[in-house]
Amino acid sequence: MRALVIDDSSTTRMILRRMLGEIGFDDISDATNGQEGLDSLIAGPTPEVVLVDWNMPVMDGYEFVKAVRAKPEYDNTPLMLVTTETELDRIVAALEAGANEYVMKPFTRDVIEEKLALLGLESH
Amino acid sequence: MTAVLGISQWRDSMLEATDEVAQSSLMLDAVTVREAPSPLPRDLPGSYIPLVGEDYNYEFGLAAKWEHCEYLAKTLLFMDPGDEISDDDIADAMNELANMVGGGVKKRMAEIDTTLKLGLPAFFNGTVHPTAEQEHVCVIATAGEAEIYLIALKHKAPL
Repeated sequence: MRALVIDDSSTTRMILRRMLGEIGFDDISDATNGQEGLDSLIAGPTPEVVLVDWNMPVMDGYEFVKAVRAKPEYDNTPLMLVTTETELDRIVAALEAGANEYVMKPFTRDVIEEKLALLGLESH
Repeated sequence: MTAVLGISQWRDSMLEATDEVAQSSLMLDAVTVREAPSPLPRDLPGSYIPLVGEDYNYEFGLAAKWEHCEYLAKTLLFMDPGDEISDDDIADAMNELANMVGGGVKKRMAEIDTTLKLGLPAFFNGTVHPTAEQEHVCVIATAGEAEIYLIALKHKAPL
């Protein structure tokens, strides 16, 4: 299974890479902002899921979600927002823009696994 | 005008949020607490994150002696004590911890001030002392082998 992790924090990228690896993802790429993530997505291959941070320089998670959903070829690519934001309206805005799920920091591997299962991605 | 958060109201929120992060992300036992000395010790690097309200600016800091920052970073990153870690990765891990704890503080303080917005964390390689224009509160939380200074700064004058 392939995953793309987009976060400006190397710490979060490392944590998510490790958790996703334990869950069964064997091809994990990462990017440090939304634009880099978008470029990586377009360069392919298309991942089974994209985990994207909310607060990032250059292009934030919300703009990334809008940019991906503007491309019909990625209509079926699940996007999961990873955020510390606690404002319901911002989460709703991201979901309305096309994000499929969200997870709040701090998170555990179990939480990530549960959210992936909601997207139909079962651990191996 | 929004409700003004008294500096003492930060104490419980900081501790609850730190406890939550310690148990969920660091897999450490619940934190224990004592009051911090005044003035703060020298050489206390840490990460600070702004919480900006409609009427007041606040700042939350998570600081520790360097070896404790290293311990927290390695714990967060599932590393062994003897593993090599760069200074940049330690700073980034401290920023991420401040981000997570700051989010928890904001969630709790938002019950009083609904206008708070969380900014981006910044790491400082030394003690950040409050200025004459700032009120502050500081407690020391112990999580695992680390002593963490939890610092809240509030600008006395409204925006």
